[in-house]
Amino acid sequence: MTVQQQDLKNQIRQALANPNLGGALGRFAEAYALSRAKAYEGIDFEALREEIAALKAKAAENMEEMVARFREEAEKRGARVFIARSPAEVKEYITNLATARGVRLVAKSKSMATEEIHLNKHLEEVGLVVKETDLGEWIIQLAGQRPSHMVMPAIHLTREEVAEIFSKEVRERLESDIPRLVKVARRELRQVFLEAEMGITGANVAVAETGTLVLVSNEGNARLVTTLPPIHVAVVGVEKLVPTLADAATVLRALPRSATAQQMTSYVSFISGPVPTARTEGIGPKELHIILMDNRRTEMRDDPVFKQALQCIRCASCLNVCPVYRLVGGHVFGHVYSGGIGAILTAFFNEMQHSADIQTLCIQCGRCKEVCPGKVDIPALILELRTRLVKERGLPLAQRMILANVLTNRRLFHGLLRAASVAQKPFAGGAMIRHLPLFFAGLTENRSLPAIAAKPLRDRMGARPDGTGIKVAFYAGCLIDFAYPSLGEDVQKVLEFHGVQCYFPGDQTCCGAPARYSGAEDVARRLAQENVAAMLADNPDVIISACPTCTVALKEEFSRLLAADPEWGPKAVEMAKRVQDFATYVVELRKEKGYQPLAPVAARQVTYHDSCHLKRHLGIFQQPRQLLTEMAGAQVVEMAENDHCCGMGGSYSIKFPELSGPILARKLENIIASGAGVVAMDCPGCLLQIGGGLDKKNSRVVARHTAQILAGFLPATENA
Amino acid sequence: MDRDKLYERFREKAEAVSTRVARVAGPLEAAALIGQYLREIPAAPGTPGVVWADTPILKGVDVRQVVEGAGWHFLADIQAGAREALVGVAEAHQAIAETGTLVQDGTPLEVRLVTTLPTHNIILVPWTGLVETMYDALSCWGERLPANLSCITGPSRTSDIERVLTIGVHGPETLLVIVVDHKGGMV
Ligand code: SF4
Ligand code: SF4
Repeated sequence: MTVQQQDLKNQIRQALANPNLGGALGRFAEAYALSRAKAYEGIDFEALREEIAALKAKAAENMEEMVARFREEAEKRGARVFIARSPAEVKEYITNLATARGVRLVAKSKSMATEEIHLNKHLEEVGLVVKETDLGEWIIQLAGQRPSHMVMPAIHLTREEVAEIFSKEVRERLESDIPRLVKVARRELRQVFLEAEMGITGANVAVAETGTLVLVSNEGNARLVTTLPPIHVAVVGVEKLVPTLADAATVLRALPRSATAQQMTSYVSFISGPVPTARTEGIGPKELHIILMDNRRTEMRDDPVFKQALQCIRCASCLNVCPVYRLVGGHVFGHVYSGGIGAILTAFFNEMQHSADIQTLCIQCGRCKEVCPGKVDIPALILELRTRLVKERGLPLAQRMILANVLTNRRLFHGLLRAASVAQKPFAGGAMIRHLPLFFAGLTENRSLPAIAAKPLRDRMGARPDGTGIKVAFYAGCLIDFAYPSLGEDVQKVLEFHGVQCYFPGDQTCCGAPARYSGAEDVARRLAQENVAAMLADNPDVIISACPTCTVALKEEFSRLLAADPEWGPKAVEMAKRVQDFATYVVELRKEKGYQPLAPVAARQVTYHDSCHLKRHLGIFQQPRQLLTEMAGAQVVEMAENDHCCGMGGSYSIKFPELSGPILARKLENIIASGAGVVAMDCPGCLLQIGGGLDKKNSRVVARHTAQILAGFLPATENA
Repeated sequence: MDRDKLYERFREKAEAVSTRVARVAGPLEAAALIGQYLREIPAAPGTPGVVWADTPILKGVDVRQVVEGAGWHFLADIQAGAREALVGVAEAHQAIAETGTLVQDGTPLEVRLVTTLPTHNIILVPWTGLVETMYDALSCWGERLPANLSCITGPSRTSDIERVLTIGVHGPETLLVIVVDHKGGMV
């Protein structure tokens, strides 16, 4: 483990040990989900975010034009516009201005752009007094910390801690009564507004056609910072530019709703030019300086993949739903900008170095992507970041050895797995391993593990299609093949019951997900090619997978990985067309053949866990529920947070058991609270995690793959 | 949408964010309501007074009379007075029904001082200024977009400490919106 990784592990440990943090973030996450939904009532969120993504993407595309237009319009209205390429240029401009005007006190209103370049630190170094005026930012400033959330910077602190911090500042013992603390801030900062010679803000949106800055706030501090001091400096990232005022209104439809679950913030100021201000010598015009800051944003725009991140409107809703953020907060999962999007922005605006470790914390569950009003595919961008990091620096040797030498050598890999099935004997009690010794112990800390089967699925199922009729090639994936072979047999039973023949192409191998999720694309590409060849070998009509991670690989990733390959690219596309997930295919078969549903049996209650890849990546959630109802007569009772991640994330649970564990614990609680005796799911990875967790807990609830349940309810003959 | 419906929607949305909303028939009724409201506010000892920005909608009303009639000080010098004033009165141009938002030309310094510094705000808005959405509000300004256009939705608020909603941070703690029609008594 590198020093940085060790550091990250320590930070995680500290964050997890802080009960205030977990409590505050957990309660917030729960409340947020409900209040956000309420704020969006009556609004077509999909249509709205489509619009925002399109307008932001277009603005980014024409960034230079937008900057020029904005400058022209704003200058026409009396503002001074400075275009800064680097943080150093921003700092220099402000320092010079402050010196020339004899500024001593600066009032600031919350701005991520100035956080990004550590402006406060610089201004203090040149002798200015800088006061943050947003309550949360002020708390953080007094505490000498950095924000842990992009919208609620002090979310990690309790009222007691805030009282402590304020008491020191005002030299008087304050009680931890929130309204009283807020009054203290009002009193203290009022003086700052009145005395500051310069106000510094950011902007939430900037409008090119009118040269307008749009600032939102709830506390009213942005209004005071832009009203009272005679000089207003706005530091604005160029990605904040949109073409028209109507576009700004569109962004404003989403921003407050996503950020704080409000339909509108208390204040929105549209500033298009300097306004009169109170100077000592009477009313005079204010000086308005607008600094348009690039700091590698055009570079981001020129990147075919990362340009998408410029669609971000900084609402922070991606943090609010992230299972990892919820556990460790933004000081661990983030740098200046927090969470998954933070890792991406940091890589560009600050340094790749800071991002390198932060990004490993993403479990790839895809929850953030679902709520993002800018339609940023955060998990995909994180994977790309990972891939580039690996290209640049390589993988740690041991990991590289396994991925490159073992995973790509099917005989060796499978040979090792077979050997492991013998080696595990002393630890396995039946089909489960509850404890492992030494450094493997972490693997069985939160869950039992399935024992590796003595006889893998490849030795149990026919390797070639025989006879006529529809030929279905089964793609098992490593887990079903070696840990849950009987689950593969259940898939076969269900399919064959519906009149199709199912076989196991023998040359199939690992889908490459472990390599892809560690950024080793070259390894993933080799595996993709091998699998395409294996799966097309006997020209099947349909290719079925019962593992959503594999399905995503077969359906989407192989063609992407092999796109540049003139021979294998088209083959991968051809293969992808035949791929279906188990549940969807069975639903189709039944419809075609007109099978009648079973009558529901009230006592047969099943709760359903939506796997991240199946629900959010493939958009499948109704089909398995339908099958459970109509084939097994089950009643599906929904658990709370049914589509929240179980904490497996492939090797994530091995790399970060300390995070995977609490995520799993929460899932198990929700499962048990549903009251159902069975929890169904469609992913063998989730089955390993949830089934192992329930076993370790000695719970009576059993975890099953949908195929396992269906196979148990096949009638001897069902009337077509 | 007809204006009555817009008003109802506006009222519902504004009240949901802790704003008091009243509708009056004309300027005289508005003045009377403000007087009554001032009498209700518990004045702190040695009470500061009221700052009143230009309110063309009440053209002809003697606003000093309204304030003093209610027993308050009328602070004529807004720049100096806004810092101590407990109440600020101003006018907005539009009211957005969809979100309960007021839209105001904040270019004059007095308007901004009166609506940011005092603890209580009373804002008058013409009945004809009711619009449905932010898009509608913005498109009305067109070429005449002022240097500062301020949207106000409820009193100032924060949830920065433990996410507990607290009303009244740097801006006003209460907001009374009076929608003024022209059917009532003219001056
Ligand atoms: S994919 Fe999941 S873990 Fe990763 S940033 Fe998004 S919500 Fe967080
Ligand atoms: S990435 Fe999306 S969800 Fe996250 S802050 Fe940006 S706009 Fe909001």
